[in-house]
Order: sequence, then C-alpha cells, then structure tokens
Amino acid sequence: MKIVAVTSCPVGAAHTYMAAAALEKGAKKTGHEIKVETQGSLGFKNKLTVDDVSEASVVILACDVACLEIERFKNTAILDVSTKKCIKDPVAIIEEALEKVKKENDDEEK
Amino acid sequence: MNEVEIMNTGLINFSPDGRNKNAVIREMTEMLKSDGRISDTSAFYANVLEREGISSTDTGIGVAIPHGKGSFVERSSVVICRFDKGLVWDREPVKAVFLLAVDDDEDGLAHLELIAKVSTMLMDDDFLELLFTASSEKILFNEIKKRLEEEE
Repeated sequence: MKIVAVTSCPVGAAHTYMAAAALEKGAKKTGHEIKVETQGSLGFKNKLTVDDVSEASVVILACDVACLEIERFKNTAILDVSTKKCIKDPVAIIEEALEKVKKENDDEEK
Repeated sequence: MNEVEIMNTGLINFSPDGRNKNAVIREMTEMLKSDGRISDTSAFYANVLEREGISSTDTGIGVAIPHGKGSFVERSSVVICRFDKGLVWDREPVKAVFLLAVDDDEDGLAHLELIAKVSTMLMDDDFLELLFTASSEKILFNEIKKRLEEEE
C-alpha cells in the first residue's frame, strides 16, 4: 500500500524530522511504501506531488502545528496523529493508517 | 579534530549536576554560553521554557529534545547530557537530553540541516544503544561525527 505523510512541529527543528524518519522506519518494517513531506524550519522538504497524493491510500498528518496546503488531501483518507506518537511507535501508526483505509473501504461498500 | 560545526566533545557531558528538568536546561544553557554559542543565557533559557510550555519535548524513547531559537543564538548547536540514574522530564523518564540551539537567520540553514540530522540519529536503535552505553563522551562524539560525514 502507498502511504503519504506530512510532519511539522512548533520550532521545526527536531520532532518534524524525527517523526519523518520514524514513519519511514515503520513503513519499511511493515513492508509498505511511504513518502514523507517535512514542513520544518528548512521549509518544505520532499514535497508531496499531486501524483503522490492521488496514488496514496491514506495520508498521515503528524502535524503539531497547522499543516500547510492541507486542501491537497481533501479526497484522501486522513489519519491525524502527533509527532510524538510517531516517534514512539511508528509501526502502530502505520497499522492504524491501514485500519483507517480498510474501514473507509468497508463503509463505501455498505 | 574533536569538533564539527554544531558541536564538540566539550558539549557532551555524561555526569551533569542537574537533577530536575529546569536545573538541567539551565546547566546545558551555561555549557552553550561558555562555548560562545549563545549570547544571552536568560533569553535563551526563557525561550526554551516557552517552547516546553507549548508541549513537552519528551519523545517516548528515553530522550528529551528541548530547543531554543532566536537571535541570541550565535551558532546553531547541539549540547548533550546523559543521566545514568535517570531524570524525569515532565511525566516521562529520560536517560539523555539533547538541547538544540537554533540560529534564526538565513545563514543558519546549513546548520539547521545538521541539527535535523543529529535529531534523526535518535530514530536509529543502534545509535540510541550507543548513546545510553558509550563509556566516554569522546566515543559518542566520534560516532556523531562519523554519521554526519557519512550522510554528506
């Protein structure tokens, strides 16, 4: 499954980048593809393209401060989490994101 | 050389005096000041506490990463303390603290990239293990230096 994510935090120096690394680690462990955009003090890094978003089943928003350009995700399932949760247990977050996709698919079938 | 742009062996201390969060931030702030990396200890200290007030910078992996950002930072830097008997950071027990000082002008961006890299090292289990068990500050510093150079 393809997942995209955005991370951000108040100062944009540490949690943003740690959470991004954590999600990449979690995706690798669970065998999923992920692309993580960081909105830190270095600006947008690894910015998600329109294609990235349209191909993704779910977007994980680990934004401790408002996510920029959030309208990009209006047609995508969104999982809202904190950067800290990502850092602490990235595998659980990936699994939660997949649950979200499964649930939305089930709801559509009903 | 025991130095990279954002830190040196003198900015790592495995036997700090502080026994509580604020005392530790104060002590680490003094380390930055005596190395000439910040200009105003009171302003930096207040800024770090302000950031903690927004949300605690504990991470759930045994490391807290408080940080201060502003014109009172002369050179973006990382200072590290390890607490072998543990330290309580708000509600979380931590074994190490990485205090980040971030210069907020344009020239600081290259350094910011280095700081982000050091923070990201904490997501690597091998690095965490070394952080918690290294027998000397020098060993930890050499590992950080090696990893910073590898990624360049």
